[in-house]
Amino acid sequence: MPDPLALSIQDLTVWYGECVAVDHLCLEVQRGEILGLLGPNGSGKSTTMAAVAGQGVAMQGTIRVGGVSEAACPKTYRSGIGYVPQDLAFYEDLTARDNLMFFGRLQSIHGRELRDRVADALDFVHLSSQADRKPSSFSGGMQRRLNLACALLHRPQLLLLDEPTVGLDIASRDAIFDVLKRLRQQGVAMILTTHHLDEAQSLCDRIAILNHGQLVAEGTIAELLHNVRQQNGYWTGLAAPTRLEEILRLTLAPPPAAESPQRSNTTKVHAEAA
Amino acid sequence: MFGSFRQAWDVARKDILLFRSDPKGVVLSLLIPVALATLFGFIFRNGSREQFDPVRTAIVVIDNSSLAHAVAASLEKNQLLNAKIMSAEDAETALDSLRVAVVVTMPEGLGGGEIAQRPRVKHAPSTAFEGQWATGIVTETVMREAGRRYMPQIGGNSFIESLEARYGVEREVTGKTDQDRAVFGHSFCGMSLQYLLFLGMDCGLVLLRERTHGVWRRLSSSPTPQWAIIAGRALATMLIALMQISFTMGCAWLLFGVSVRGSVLGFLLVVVAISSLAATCGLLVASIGGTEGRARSISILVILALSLVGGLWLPAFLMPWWVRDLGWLLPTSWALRGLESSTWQGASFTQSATCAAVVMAYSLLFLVVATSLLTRRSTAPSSRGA
Repeated sequence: MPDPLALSIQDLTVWYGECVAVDHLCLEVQRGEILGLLGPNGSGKSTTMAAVAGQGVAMQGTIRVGGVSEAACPKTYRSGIGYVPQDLAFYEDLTARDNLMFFGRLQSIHGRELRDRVADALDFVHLSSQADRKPSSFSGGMQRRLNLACALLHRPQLLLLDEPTVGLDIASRDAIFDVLKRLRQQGVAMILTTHHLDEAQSLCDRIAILNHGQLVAEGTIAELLHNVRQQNGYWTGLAAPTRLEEILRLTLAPPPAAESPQRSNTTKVHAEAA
Repeated sequence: MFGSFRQAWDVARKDILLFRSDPKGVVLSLLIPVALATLFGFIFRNGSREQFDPVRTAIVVIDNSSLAHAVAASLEKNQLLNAKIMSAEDAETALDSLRVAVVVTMPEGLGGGEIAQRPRVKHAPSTAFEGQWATGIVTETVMREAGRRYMPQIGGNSFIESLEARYGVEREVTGKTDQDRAVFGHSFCGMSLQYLLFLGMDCGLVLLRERTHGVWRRLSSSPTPQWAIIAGRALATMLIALMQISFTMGCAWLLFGVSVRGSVLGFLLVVVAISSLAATCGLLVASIGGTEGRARSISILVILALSLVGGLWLPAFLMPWWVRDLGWLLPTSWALRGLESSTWQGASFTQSATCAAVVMAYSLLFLVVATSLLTRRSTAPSSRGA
């Protein structure tokens, strides 16, 4: 019986030198679930991704992928993860097919199985017709799809997506979304970091908000809305934040004691008007 | 473990594929060391020939004695000099314009006047070598001519000739060589080595650049161990270096007859050792860390210094002795010695193998240092649960 949790993070603390980048973080992601990891720059999103991806950060705590920790079985742990970095992580001077063949081999896939999986991956991201072209001649959207395909060859149970649509137009972004939705249908869990809140709202099943390395809010968008409304005194349905952007703004706002009098007044007026 | 070796080979194969993906770049990388070595060979051909170009010399005869005229005539005939008798003014002008390297003056009183004068050799600071050379020849000539004239009681001319016959110096060159092969042998060995060091540096810089980009994050999150990725990179560099040095030395053989005159096995060992050195130097460059620009600057400085002091540019006999002594500490000196000894010097297997062993030892040292720096992780507490 496979572990229903694709990812389990328990009490994760990550250091960069003396600086604590992630502070006692606990997170879980179910199979087939997309978790949006949001927060301002420097909040610890990418560090969390790096820790999960096993990139040698100094850390304490427990991370399990499919119930397996890296200490127990490094190969199984890493094979369970597909990592899509923010920058284009392939070789521009190799063809799309050669890139995929290489990354497949690093996952210990060889021979006919590798060729089949490369063909499947190219087909999955609609790049079959471009297989023998070098990515340097691709459009931005095609490059992003190849970037994604490189992480799919070994059929990971958890996909880490670090701003996968950065710099793309709407059509290209929709093409990526289409791929991610199909992956979700196949039971692949995903963690997505993004600064496009509409993207997170339309794609993510749950949202986790990080600030200064700490988890400050977590839940479905409905749950987050409910909490924000309760904490800020909004009345349901009236002038309340209905968008993720508002949730994020209010969640990350400094505590009332630290707020300026003007800010407090504004919030109060809002509440009274409501 | 076997799987990791296979993954290292996969990384190497990818790098070779990347190298091949630019055919014009491949052709250039093969031809440039050949062109450089050929150019250096032609430049230094004169400097290493058994017979050097005669030193252009102006002879000024102020003394009117028979000795002065005999010395001047003898110097004019000397094949090591290209000497002409000139007036003092013409000789000065020729020296100033570097049309001659040396001016030899027979001063008033050379032939036994009231105040005995010595012959004078004058040269520019840039022609010190020719100046020393001419001084030796003039000294020998004056002694010989003076002996003929002033020592009749012990046989004069016949005595000098018997001395020359008895004590004339014989020169012997170590190893089997002919001079054209020697000079092109040296230039091809030296330039190949220097180019391989730059190849290693380039591969190291690519690795350094890659480590700051997403590709490295993707590689390091894969199940392939980091040592296998690093070993794969080094293996690819080594194989490319092996191909490059084989091509360069092949051209040296075809174009200038620089063949393997020593042990073939010794030559192969040396070539493999040199390729390893290039690869591990590349890793060392990548492990320097910091910015790419910083690593590049440091590497260029080190490679140029190693090349110069290691004798890759200039033949060792042109170097001061302290540089030659320092060379024993450098891998480049040993690599050059190994390559030269197994090719145009025709040395024994033992000599080539010794050089190969020293170069391999340096490669191993570089590998250990670079790998430990590249794979070093933060020392803060780390665990991922059990």
